[in-house]
Amino acid sequence: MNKKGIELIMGTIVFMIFNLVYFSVLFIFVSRVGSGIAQYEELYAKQLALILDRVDSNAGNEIYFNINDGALLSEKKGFTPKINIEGNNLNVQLIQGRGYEYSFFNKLNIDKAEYVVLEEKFEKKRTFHLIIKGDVGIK
Amino acid sequence: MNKKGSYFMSPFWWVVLGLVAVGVVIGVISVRGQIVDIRPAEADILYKKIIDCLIEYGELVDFSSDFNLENYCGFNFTDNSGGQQYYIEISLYDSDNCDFGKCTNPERFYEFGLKELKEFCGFGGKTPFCYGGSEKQNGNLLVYTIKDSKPKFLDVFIAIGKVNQNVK
Repeated sequence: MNKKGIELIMGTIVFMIFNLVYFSVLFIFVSRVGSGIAQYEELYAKQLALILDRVDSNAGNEIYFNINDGALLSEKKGFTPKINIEGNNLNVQLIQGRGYEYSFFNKLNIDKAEYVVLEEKFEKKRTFHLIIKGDVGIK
Repeated sequence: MNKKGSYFMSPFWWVVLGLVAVGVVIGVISVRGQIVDIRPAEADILYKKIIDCLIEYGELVDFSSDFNLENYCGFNFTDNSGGQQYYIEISLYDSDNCDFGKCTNPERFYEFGLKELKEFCGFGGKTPFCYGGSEKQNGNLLVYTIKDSKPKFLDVFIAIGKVNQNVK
């Protein structure tokens, strides 16, 4: 092979390597951001806050809140979803980090808030399980 | 390097790749970076809860003197943000003081929370969400009638901050 031929092959190989690196970086970025795990955290926290705002604080309630899509992404990252309620703030965490926090205005006596996987015949249902005690002493 | 090799490594090609990358990043962030604003739903729930709480067996509770909305209606507006995120105004108007949905000189008046939130209503962008009020667009003025007497208008105005969590 002559000198020109070698230069052509080398140029093509360098070009392909650069492109491979470029598209790999782009792919990693899109898959990380596009997985939407942070968006699921926000969505679940806000949906739960609205549910907790809506419930009757005088009546006892038990809520199974479906988080299947977000929990599946958590499992892929080797993380178990967490929910933490302190006072009127709830925090949903689907991946290592601070999670997403949102507040609700309803005065509630929340007895339990935990991640529960319900085993059904052919599928698993990943949920946040909340037990709300009734009668917080308002009219 | 020959012509073909120089074409592959030309700045033109990298500009094209750069533009594609910028396009992808902007596209992904604009789709995935959307924030859901739940304040309208939150305000609607709060409005209905306040009305339910204020009217007991058809009678309006006395909300003017020493009234504590949080304790009486079972609310807790304290959160980890440090500042107050709510402002609530409750007014009762005589029908004589109302004209085309606009009322003045409330007979009874109660307010709770951070009043500054009201001042930034309707400015657009990162501002509080406002709901209700006699001069509002989405008019929710409630008619309250007592037997054999003139109708009265009950007005509940709500402003919710939580701007960073709900507005991009």
